Amino acid sequence: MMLGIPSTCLAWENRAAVSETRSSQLRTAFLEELQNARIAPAKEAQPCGLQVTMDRTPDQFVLVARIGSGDAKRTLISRLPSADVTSGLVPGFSLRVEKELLWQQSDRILDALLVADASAKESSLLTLQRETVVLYRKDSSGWVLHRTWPLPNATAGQRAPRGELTSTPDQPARVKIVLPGRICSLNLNEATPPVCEAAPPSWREQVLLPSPCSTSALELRADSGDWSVPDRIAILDSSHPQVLPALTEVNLPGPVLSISAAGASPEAAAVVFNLSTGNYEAYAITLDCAN
Amino acid sequence: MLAALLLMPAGRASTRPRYGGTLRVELHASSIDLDPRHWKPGSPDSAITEHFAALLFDRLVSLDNYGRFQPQLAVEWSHDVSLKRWQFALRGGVKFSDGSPLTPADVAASISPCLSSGIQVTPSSNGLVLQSSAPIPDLPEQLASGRCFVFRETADGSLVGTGPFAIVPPASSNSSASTGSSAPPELPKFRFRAQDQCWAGRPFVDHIEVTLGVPNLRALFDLQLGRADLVLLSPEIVRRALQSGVRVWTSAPATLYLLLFDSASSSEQDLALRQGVSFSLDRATMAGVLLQKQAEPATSLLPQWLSGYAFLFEADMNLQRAEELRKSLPSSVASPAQPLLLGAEAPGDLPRLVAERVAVNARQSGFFIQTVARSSAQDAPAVKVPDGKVSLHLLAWRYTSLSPRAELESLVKAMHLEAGAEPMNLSSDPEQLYAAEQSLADQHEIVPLVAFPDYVGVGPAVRDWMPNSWGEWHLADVWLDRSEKSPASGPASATDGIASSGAHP
Repeated sequence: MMLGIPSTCLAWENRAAVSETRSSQLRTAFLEELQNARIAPAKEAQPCGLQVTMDRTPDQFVLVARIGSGDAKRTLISRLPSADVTSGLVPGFSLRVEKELLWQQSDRILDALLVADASAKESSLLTLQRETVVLYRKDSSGWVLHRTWPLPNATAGQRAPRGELTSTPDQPARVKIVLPGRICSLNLNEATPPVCEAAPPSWREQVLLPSPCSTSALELRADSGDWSVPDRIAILDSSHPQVLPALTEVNLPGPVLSISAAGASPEAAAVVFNLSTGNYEAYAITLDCAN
Repeated sequence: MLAALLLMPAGRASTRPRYGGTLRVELHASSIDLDPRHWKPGSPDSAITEHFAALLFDRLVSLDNYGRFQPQLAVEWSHDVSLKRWQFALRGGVKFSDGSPLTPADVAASISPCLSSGIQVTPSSNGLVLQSSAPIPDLPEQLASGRCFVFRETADGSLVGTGPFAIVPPASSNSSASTGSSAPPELPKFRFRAQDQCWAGRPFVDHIEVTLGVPNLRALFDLQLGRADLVLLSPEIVRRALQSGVRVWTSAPATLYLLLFDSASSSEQDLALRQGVSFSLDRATMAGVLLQKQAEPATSLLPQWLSGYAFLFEADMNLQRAEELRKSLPSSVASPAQPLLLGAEAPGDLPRLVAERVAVNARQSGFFIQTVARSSAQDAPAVKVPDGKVSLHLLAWRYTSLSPRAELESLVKAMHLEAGAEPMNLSSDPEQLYAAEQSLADQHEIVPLVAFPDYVGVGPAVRDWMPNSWGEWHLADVWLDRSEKSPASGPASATDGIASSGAHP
C-alpha cells in the first residue's frame, strides 16, 4: 500500500480479533513503513487524513486505508494470509511461577515430557507426535531441535490419536512410549528408532508430583471434558483429591490434552491446544513453595 | 510417599473423547437433497443440506479457524508464480464408502462443476492439475467451501463419498428409528452410520439421526427435554431458547435478506425510484426491534467477515433525500392507485415481516408498496419473476463460498445483475472487488437489508461442538456424554454461544 501523502495523522482501528498488543505491533510497523517512505505522521492534524482499519476474514487479514476526504478521498485495500499475521500473535516466552510456555507448533503434539538428561546442562523436552518423537534441548538461544526418531507404524488415520511418554527418575534417558495396542522403548542417547512390541495399553489417569513444601504428593488434574473450551490444571492434595478444594489452579489458553511428570521434581509438562492460535503448546508446570 | 513417587513412572490426567451413541438432530426443513449437483447457489435450503453432505463427502482442502488451509483428500498442493497452474497430490489409500478406491478422475469429475468457469481440471497419475488463463488466487477458498465435495456416482445414480459417515438406506433408517427419539414415526428421517475405515479416523458417534419437518417450537422443546441433541433454531425463537437456558451457538451472519428491483433501467426515473425506496429503509429498526436483535443491518452484499471492507458501505436512512426523489417522480409512480408490488419470496414468516416493514418505511417517504405472498418461495433466491406485476422482490441469499469473489459472482449471476450491462469482470483483488460491489450499490437495483446468523441449539450431552464461525459443523468430531444432568438445570447464558472455537485438537 503506497501512500502518496507527505504528512498526515493516523487513525488506527483494530476490528480484528487480534490482541491489542499485536495491533500495537502492527501499527508501529506501519508507522515505520511510513517513515521509510519519508512520510511523517502528524499526531495533532485534524481532521485525520489517514484512517487504517484492520479486520480478518476466514483466511485473510484485511487492511483498509482511507486517505483524504470528500472528492479527494481514496480507499486502498490490501490483504495477506491471516495465518502469516496470527503466527506472531503468541507473545514471547514469559517466565511465570505456575507455567512456562516451552514449545509451540501447528502440528499435533500427543504428549510431552520434561527429561532430566544427565548429558545436558538443562532439562530436555521430549515430544510425541503422530509419526515422530522429537527431543529439544535448551541453549542460550532457546529450545533447539536435538534429535528426531521416526515412530514405527505411525498413528495417522485416528481422529483422536493417543500416545504417552513415560520415564523414571533413575533412568531418565530410557523412555517408554505407550501407543494403542503397543509399547515402544526408546533410548534418548541413541539414534536407534524405538523398538515396539504388541501390548495392551496401560494409560495412566493420575499425575502425581512431590510437594515442594512437604513430603506429601500433589495431584495435577485437568477438568475439562470438552476440547472446545479453555481448560485449567488444578493442583490437589493427592490424599483427598475428591474432598478438598484445589490448592491452586493454572489457567491455560485451551484444552489440556495431556499432563506428564517424570516424578522426581515438582515439575510437569502439559500439552495444550491453544484456542486462540490453533497451535499445540507444551508447558512446564512448576510448583514452587515460595509462591 | 516420596520414595514411591521416585519410582513412579510418568502419569497424566486429561479427558478423552468417548465413542458411541446416536446424535439426534432435528430440522424444520421438510426435505434435504444430499446431491451437491442439485444445489442452487445462495439457497438457504442447500446450505442446511451442506451440513449433512459433509458427513458423506470430503473436500480436497479445508480451512480452519486460524486461516490455515488443511489437507483433506489433497495432501499437498503448489502453484506457479502466476497462480494460473495449480497441482494437487491426492492422499493415497482413500476409499469410497462402497469400498472402491478414490481416483484422480473421480475428483476431477466432482469438482469441475463447482469451480469458476475457465478452470480446466486434469487428472494426473497421483493428483490433479488445475489450469486457468487467469490467475486463481482464491482456488483454495473455492475448494474448501460450497459445492466442492468429492463423490462418485454409482450405477444406480446415487452418490458415494469418502467421508466419515455413510447414509443408511431409508428402509432400515425407519426400522431403526427407535433410538430414543420420540418424534412421531411419520416424520421423515435420515440416518447416518459411522465409517470405521474413514481415512481421517472413525467418528466418535455411531450414528447421526436427522428428523425432518419438526416445527420450530417442537424442536426447542425436544432439545430441552433431552429428546434431541442439535436443533436448528429459527431466529424467532432464539430469545426464548436463551431465556430457558438452552446453549445456543451463533455463526457469523450467514443469510442476507435483500430487495431486488425488476427494473434494471438506468433511466433517471427508475434510478430515482430505486434510490428513493432505498433511502427510506430503516435497517437498524428492522434488525433491532422487528427482529429482536437476532439479525444485523446489512449495508453491503458481502458481509464484513467475508470481504473485510463491508464497513465502507453506508446506507443510513435519509428521509429528506427520499422525499426529494419521490417529488421528482410522476405522481402516479408508486402511488396508492399503482403501488409497487413486493413479493416476499423467501420461505417462512420472517420475510413477510421484513417485507411489511419495507412497505411501512417506504410509505413514510411517499412510496406506496403492497406486499404480495409468493407461493413458489421454496427455492429462493429464484430467477427474477418477469410477470410484469411484481416490481420488487424480497429474497434470501445464503453465503456459501469462502471466496468473496466467487460469492459475489454467484450472487450477481443468480440475480441476473449482469444482464443488459457490461459483463462484470470480477477480480480477487480486494480493491477491484470493492469497486464492483460499489458499482452495484450505486445502481440500487439490489438493496441489502438485514443479515441473519445461523442459530443452533446444542444439547448438554454434546461435547467438542466446534463449528467454524462461518457455519461448518464438523459433526465427526462431536462426541456424546450422556451422563450430563437435565438441560433445564443448566444456567442461562446468552454468551454461551461458543462463537468461535478451534479445529479439533
